[in-house]
Amino acid sequence: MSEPINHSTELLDDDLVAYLDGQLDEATARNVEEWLSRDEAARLRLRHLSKSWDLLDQLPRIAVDETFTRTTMAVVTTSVANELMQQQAAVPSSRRRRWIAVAASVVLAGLLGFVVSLLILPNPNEPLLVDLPVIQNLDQYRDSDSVEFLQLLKQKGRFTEEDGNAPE
Amino acid sequence: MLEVRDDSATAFEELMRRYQDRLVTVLEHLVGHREQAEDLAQDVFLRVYRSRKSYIPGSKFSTWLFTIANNAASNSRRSRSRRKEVNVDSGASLSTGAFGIEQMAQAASGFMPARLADKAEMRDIVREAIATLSERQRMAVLLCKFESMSYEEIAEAMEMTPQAIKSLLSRARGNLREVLEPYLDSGSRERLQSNEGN
Repeated sequence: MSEPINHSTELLDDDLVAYLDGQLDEATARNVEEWLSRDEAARLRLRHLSKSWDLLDQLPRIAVDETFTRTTMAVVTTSVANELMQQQAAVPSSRRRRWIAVAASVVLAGLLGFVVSLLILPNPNEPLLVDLPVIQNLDQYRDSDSVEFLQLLKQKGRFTEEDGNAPE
Repeated sequence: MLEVRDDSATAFEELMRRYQDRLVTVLEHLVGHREQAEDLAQDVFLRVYRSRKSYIPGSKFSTWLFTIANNAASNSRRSRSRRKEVNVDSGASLSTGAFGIEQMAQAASGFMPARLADKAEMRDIVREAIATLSERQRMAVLLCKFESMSYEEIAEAMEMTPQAIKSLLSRARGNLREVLEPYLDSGSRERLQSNEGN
C-alpha cells in the first residue's frame, strides 16, 4: 500500500518531468526518488511520461538539400545588396543636406557677428556727427578772430545746434 | 560567429550549413509544414545576418539562434492569423499527417484498428500528438527533445523564466502522455512489432 502523496498531481508532474530531464537539484531529485520508491502510481506515471517522451523519437530529423543552402545565401546576399544600394542612394541627399546646413550656419554666424559689432564697436562717424554744427559754420567761426566770443557761443550751446545758425 | 560578426560571408555560409538541418527540423515540427518551415528558416538566417553585430561573444550561438527562430515563428503566426489564411476545411488539425484528432480519440478509446499502428502511422500519430500542444508548449518540447537544451537555455530562447518552462514542459508532457497512452503499456510497441512481422 503506497503512502499518500502530499503534493498535488500538477506539482508532482512538474518534478517528475524535471526529474526525467535531469533538471532537478540534488535534494529535490532525492525527494522525487523517495516518492517513487513509496508510490506505485507515481512510478507508473513516470514510466508513461518517459515512454511517451521516447515516442517523440519517431519524429524525423530533417536534412535540407543544397538548394536550400544556395537559396538562403542568395536571399541573404540580395537583401544585403539592396540595403547597401539604399544606403548609397541616400548618400547624395544627405550630403546635400549637410552642405545646406553648413551654408546656413555661415550666413547666420555672419549676421550675428554684424549685429554684435554694431552693439559693441564704436561708430567712427559719431564724432563727426557731434561736431557737424561747428563744421558747417567753420569758416564763419574762423573769421570771428576772438576766442572769448567763441567761448561765449559754446556756453550758449550754439556749437551743438544742428540748424547751423552761424554768428552774424 | 565572431567571423560572421566581422562580415565574413564564408563564415556565415559555414555557420548556416552547421545549423540549417537542426533549425528546419524544429521549425517543421513547430509549424507542421516543410515548405513553411524552410521559408521561416531562411527568414531566421537573414535575421541572424542582419543582427550579427549584436551577437555577444561568448554567448551560446544555438540559444541565440533559437531565440530569433522563436520570435520569427511567433511573428509569422501572428501575420498568418491577421491575413486569415487559416484553411477552414482542415478544421482544428495543424498537421498534414494521415490522422486527425478524431481518429486519435478513436485510438485512445480502443476503436483504432490494430493494423493502422505501423511505424509510419505511429510517426503520424506522434505528429498529431505534437499538433495538439499549444505553440509555446510545442516549441519548449522541441527545444528540449531535439536540441537537448536545459530549462535555462529554453527559458532564454523563449524569453520566459526557467520555472515557467518547467511548468510549460510538465503540462506539455502530460498532454502528450494522455494522447499517446494507448500506444504505451497497452502494447503499442508489441502491436507495432507484430504488424511489422506480418
